[in-house]
Amino acid sequence: MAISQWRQHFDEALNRTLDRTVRLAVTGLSRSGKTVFITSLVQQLLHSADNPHLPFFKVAGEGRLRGTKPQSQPDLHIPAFRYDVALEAFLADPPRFPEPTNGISEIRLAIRYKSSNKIIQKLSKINTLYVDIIDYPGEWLLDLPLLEWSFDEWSRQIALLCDKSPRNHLSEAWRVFLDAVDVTKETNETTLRQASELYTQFLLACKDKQQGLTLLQPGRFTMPGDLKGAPLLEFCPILKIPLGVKKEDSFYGIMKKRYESYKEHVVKKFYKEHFSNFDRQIVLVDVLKTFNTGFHTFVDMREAIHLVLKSFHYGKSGVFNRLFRFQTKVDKLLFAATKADHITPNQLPNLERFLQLMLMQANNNARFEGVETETLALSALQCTTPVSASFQGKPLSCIKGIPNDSEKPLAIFPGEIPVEIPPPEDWTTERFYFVDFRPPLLHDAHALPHLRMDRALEFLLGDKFS
Amino acid sequence: MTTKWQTPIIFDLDDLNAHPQESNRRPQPPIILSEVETTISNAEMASNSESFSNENISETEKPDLKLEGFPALAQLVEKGGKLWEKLSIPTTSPLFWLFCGLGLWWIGILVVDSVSFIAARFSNNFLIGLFFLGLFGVIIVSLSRLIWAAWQDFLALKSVSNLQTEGQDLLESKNYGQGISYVSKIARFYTQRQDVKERLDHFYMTVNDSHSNSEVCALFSKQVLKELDEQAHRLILKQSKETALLVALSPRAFLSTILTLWSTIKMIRDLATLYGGRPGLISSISLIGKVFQSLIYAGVSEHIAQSVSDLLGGSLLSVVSAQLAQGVGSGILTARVGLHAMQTCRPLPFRTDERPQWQSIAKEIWASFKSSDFSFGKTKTA
Repeated sequence: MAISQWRQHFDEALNRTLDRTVRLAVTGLSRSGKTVFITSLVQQLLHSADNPHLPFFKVAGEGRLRGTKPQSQPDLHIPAFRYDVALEAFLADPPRFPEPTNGISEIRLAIRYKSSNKIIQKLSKINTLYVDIIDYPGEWLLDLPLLEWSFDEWSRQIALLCDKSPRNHLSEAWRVFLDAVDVTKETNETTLRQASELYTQFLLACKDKQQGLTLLQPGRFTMPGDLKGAPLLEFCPILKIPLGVKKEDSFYGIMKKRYESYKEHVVKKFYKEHFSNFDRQIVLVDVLKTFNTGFHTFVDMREAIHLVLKSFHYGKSGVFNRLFRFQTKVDKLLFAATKADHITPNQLPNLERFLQLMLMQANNNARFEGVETETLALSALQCTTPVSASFQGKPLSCIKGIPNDSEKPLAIFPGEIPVEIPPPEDWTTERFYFVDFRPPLLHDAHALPHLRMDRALEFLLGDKFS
Repeated sequence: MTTKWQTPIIFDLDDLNAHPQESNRRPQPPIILSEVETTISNAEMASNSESFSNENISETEKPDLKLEGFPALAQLVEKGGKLWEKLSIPTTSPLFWLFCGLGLWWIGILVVDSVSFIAARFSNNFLIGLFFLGLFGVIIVSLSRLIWAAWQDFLALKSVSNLQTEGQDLLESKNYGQGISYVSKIARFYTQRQDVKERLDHFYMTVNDSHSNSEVCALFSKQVLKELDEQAHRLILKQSKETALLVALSPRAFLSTILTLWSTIKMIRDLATLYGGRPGLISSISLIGKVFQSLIYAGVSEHIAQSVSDLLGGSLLSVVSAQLAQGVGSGILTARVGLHAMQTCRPLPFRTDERPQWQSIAKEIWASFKSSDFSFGKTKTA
């Protein structure tokens, strides 16, 4: 009895030493599909043991996966990620996408598997891998580059952006108001509030679906989360930086002070708590959105992603590491083009190629630092079915689904994805017409229909199941 | 920008078809995949391929061979033409015409002689004439059936090698749409096999339209053919062990050669049957020829070097008799022939990472031989 007890203890201790934890960073600008991706990922993993639709996720394909369960998360002060809420939305009639995320949440999954390594197999029959995933509003990600910039630098960047269309006419009200204010003089609370309100309105106008701009800083202005109405958010950049102003209670001085405290209390805290110690990262990009809205949104999004990923520097020299003195140890980075179901299957390689072109710089940086990267077109929830139609006497594959803003199904060939970045005048509805489709009607949520989630899982987690 | 693109199009919902891949999911059950079918579905596939560039369209547009009102005849003409192209016989060579002429001459003489012989019998006695006529008929029918079967065998083997070339292309391609129709062609080999059918069903459930050609092939290889590969592996191992033991035991060199040859041929035929081809006599010969050809091409010198190092490295020569070493050597040779036969018979070529390693088989022969060598020694001393 005593011996068997000892043995049990020994096994448990061994299990604990062999168990591993992976922290997965799901990075993506707002509306790039982080919540849907995480929900799908959780759901695929929860049903992976009996799911035939993950052939390229090796551990599942080889039948070594025993099962997955959500666990209580390590950080108890963070709300749990409610994948059941997202699932409810998918299963509703008519099905819909979950509401945009307005706060941070976390989930931990415990995955039980049989190791393929003979030595580990001898030591323990079943191993457990813990996967931690965090969901947060994508808007907040754009605060990351602020850490590197002083107030003056940031203001200059914004002034530069506001020179160009469409920002120049969207920001007109705010700029006119600022021009009337003498920033070197003392000011009152009302003026400050008005200026920041006008700036917030400008950002919200940029975020509007018609404009579709993504490079909007500070992130909390468009998605305040728990800070809604806090005085911490009452500031804005200044277009013309005055020289030699030392007065702390001037308009300029106060704005500068509030910017610094925003950085200190909001941005730093957020990243310190949630963006440290990641092992794997996936960057979700909604490429199709930029095709619909035009060349300027494409440039804007590319710039935004570059800024964010630059702050995520993977080597020792990154600003991230310098500021917080920790080593990010991301060793695998996946760039994923989402909504791959909104194009015909034969266009998938083109979409991947296009994303590669778009993020070439970030990709090169990561590779230079020794990070393994890959580009993949995926769809966390497949909303369409490929069908074939006859066009000029020849079969042409197209996709069928129910658009978001309609009740009737639609079959469409949405246009070819270019393999090089087209000139600005080509970004028209004549060339690209990508419709947003609503989720398919599901009868049960056992395993959500997906495209290539198994490939993403294999790349991000596959090697941990060896 | 000089390249042209296809503008977005919205279709009427009534005009839609299921995706070509979907309709291809269930293979129809003809058992032997003949050359004729392959070429036709190839043509279909080519016309299915979507492309907007003009060159491709002109490529796929074939001259219209339709004989109005005689679709069957038209098909036959088309088939004949395609077969002739496939055979690639050098019709300009005088040697070809010489052999053709001699063959026809011989057949002509045979037929004319027989006919005049039968006619002579008829003029003698009606019953005897009838008897010989019947005999002649039986000979003609059985001969033509034999030729037909051999021809079918030949076509089946040729279709396997065609499938292999096509598969090699698909494995390397990043395109979409041809994978499933290709795999369905292979699946036709296995429609009658209950054990494979389950795996096939699972495969068809797993695969979807977003898988590229190479992904479909990899999936098929993993989910359907892997089991067959394992069976083949076991078969080769068993056969090589037997050969090794037989050669080691047989007292005459001549006998051991015959034994090796016989068991090797048996193994090759078994492997072909396992992978779905059912070789007859002629195709067996050509299959065996092919296997040995590939064996030679694989690099004779390397083989010799490795085999010799294996023979010496195991310190076997210093321990056991030369006969035993000979046994192991021929066992390893059988294993290598078996692996090459596997590669020749498998309709979908191996990817580089799943290619069977002969070294592992060689090791197993060693291991089994060491244990059997023990008992062998015992029996000898006993």
